[in-house]
Amino acid sequence: MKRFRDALEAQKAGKTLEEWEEKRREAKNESIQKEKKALGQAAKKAAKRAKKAFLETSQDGDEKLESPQALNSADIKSSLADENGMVIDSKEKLKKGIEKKAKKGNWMASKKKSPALVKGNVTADRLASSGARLNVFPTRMALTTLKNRLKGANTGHSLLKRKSEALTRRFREIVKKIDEAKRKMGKVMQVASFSYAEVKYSTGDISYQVRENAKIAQLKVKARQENVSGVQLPAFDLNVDGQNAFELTGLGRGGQQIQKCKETYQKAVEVLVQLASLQTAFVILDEVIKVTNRRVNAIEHVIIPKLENTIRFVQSELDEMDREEFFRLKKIQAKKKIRKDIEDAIREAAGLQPTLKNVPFKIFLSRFS
Amino acid sequence: MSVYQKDRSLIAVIGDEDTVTGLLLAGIGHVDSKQKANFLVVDSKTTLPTIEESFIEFTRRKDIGIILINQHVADDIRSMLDEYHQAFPTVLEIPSKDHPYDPAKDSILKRVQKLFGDDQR
Repeated sequence: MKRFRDALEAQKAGKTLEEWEEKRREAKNESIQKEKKALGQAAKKAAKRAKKAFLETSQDGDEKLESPQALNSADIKSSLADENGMVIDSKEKLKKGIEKKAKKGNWMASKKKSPALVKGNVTADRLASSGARLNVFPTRMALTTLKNRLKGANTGHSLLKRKSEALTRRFREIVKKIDEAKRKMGKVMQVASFSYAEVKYSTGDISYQVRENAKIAQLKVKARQENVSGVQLPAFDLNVDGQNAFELTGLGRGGQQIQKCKETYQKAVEVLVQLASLQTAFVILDEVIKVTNRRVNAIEHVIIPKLENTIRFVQSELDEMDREEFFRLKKIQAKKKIRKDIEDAIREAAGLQPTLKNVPFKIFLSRFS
Repeated sequence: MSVYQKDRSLIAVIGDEDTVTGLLLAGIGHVDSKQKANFLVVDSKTTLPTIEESFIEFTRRKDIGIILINQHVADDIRSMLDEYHQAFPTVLEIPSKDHPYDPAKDSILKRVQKLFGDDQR
């Protein structure tokens, strides 16, 4: 249909061209300079109009037809090869300009350029930014980095989760032991108290004497480290050193009871020390498990969704850019086709053989001038 | 953590006369060069601020690894014990002759129960 229209126009144009050429032959004396000026202006106008048409995204038939018409009239009026060259030059400049813009390939630039595409981006944004995301520029490199980070986050998450599980297992063990030790402690302390009662009975009150004699500790604890999946758990060891400060206590009477009582209490202290180390481990593990769980949850519920969101955003953004690129190429193709049609029409109008492929129009025309 | 644990070698005790005497007999008693003892005998005449003061002092001393405290004394300063979350020194509640041990009152065991529910026990 379009071709048909073009052909019709070309015919009309052909007629006018013939007439015009006849006239020209008749009026050879007219100054060529003036004509050239006028024609140049016409050509420029035509080029401007063509530019307008090119930039228009709407596929209106009227708009489309306007540019061939304008170009036709301009071209026909300027049968001189020079004038034609001017038109083509201006058209080529236009084309180059478009291609430059395309080559920039700048995401922001293209976004600003066409309102329709900006709209598309906005919807994409809304889809991708349903949650929080990192502030990154959507490039392929950023995408790769993000994917690596996501992988790292997943690995870290699984590792931390395993750590937390190991710690929790240990924690439960310790809790069970604490429970047992506390019960044991009750019994041991009972026995110790009983033996002290015996001492009281046989020796009388020695408490003041004992308190006064306490100078340097004989029973000491030593902290030891135990490693549970990267957590240093302390454990106390009881060690007996130095000399017995109470060797002479109860020398008068009840010395045996006192020594027995001392042994019982030493055993009690041993149990207490065990319990204390369990309790310390309990407190530390409790803390570490809390921290680990917090980290696991942070990775699971904050970091990973954020990364996924960002990846989705970058991907949608890249897809959008691909579509833009494709659309632009299509547009350029269409424009090139229009130009070719115009040229063909001119050739036909000039009564020449249509379209010799690969021969630039300028050269082609120059053969006949 | 391990650095300041090395020095923690003493066992401190806050309790009634019998408990303290028994433990001192076992040989935990230590009086340092400044005449500071690592034990406190609590009797009917001992005031609450004294207990609190010595508890705070024991928790701040760098050479004490374990603090033993009679449960009936611990009850007097329960709020302090509940707020105490340090790993070192470890505070351990022990029964006394006159007061049998009640696991339900123990600060640590309370936390255990809180974490695992009552079915654990």
